[in-house]
Amino acid sequence: MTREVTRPLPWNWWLKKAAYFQFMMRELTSVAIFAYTLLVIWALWSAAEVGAFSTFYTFLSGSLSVWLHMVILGLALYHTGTWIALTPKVTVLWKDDERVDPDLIAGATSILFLMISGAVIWLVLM
Amino acid sequence: MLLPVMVFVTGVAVPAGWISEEDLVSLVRNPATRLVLVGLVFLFLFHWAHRFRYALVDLGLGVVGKQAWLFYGTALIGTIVAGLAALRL
Repeated sequence: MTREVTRPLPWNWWLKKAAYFQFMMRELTSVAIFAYTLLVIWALWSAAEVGAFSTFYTFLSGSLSVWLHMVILGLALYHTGTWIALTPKVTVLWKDDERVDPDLIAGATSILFLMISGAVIWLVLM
Repeated sequence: MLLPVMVFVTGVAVPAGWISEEDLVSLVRNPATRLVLVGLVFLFLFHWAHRFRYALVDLGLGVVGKQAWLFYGTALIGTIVAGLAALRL
C-alpha cells in the first residue's frame, strides 16, 4: 500500500513574502478575466437580435459597467504588466557568448503589446 | 495581451460614445470578429480555469481545487455557448 506524503502548508503562506503575495494576486486576477469573458459571451449571444443588443449596449454605457470595467482594466493591466516583466526570465536568449539584455526582451514585448492594442483600437474605431 | 484593449473598447470607448450601437453590432456580427471572439473566450476561460484551480489548491482549498472537471468543464461549456452564439448570428 502506498500513501501520499503531503507536507503541511499554512494557509497564509502567501502573506509572508511580498513576492508570494504578488504571485497570488496575479493568479487571482484570472477571476477578472473570467468575469470579462462572460461579457464577451453576452455580446456574442445578444448580437443576433437588435433588442437584446440594445440592452447590452445600454448596460455598457451605465455607471455600474464603467466601474466594473475600471476594476477589470486595472487587474488586466497588472496581469499583462507582470507577464511582460516575466518574459526575459523565461526567454533567455544568447547572441554568440553574450546574453541578450533582459530589458531588451521586456521592452520588445511591451512594444508588441502597444502595437497590438493600437491596431485593435484602430480597427474598432475607424 | 488583448484583454486590456478589449476592456478599453467596451469600458471606455462605448460609454464615451466613440462607437455607436450600430457600429458595435456590425463589428460583433462580422465573421472574422466572431471567430476571434470565440477563440479568445476559449483561451480566457481555460487560462482562468487553470490558474484559479491551482490558486485554490495553493490557498489550502485543495478539496475544491482538485475537482478538475468543475473548472475545465465550466471553461468547456462557456466555449460551447460562445460557439453556439457565434453560429446563431
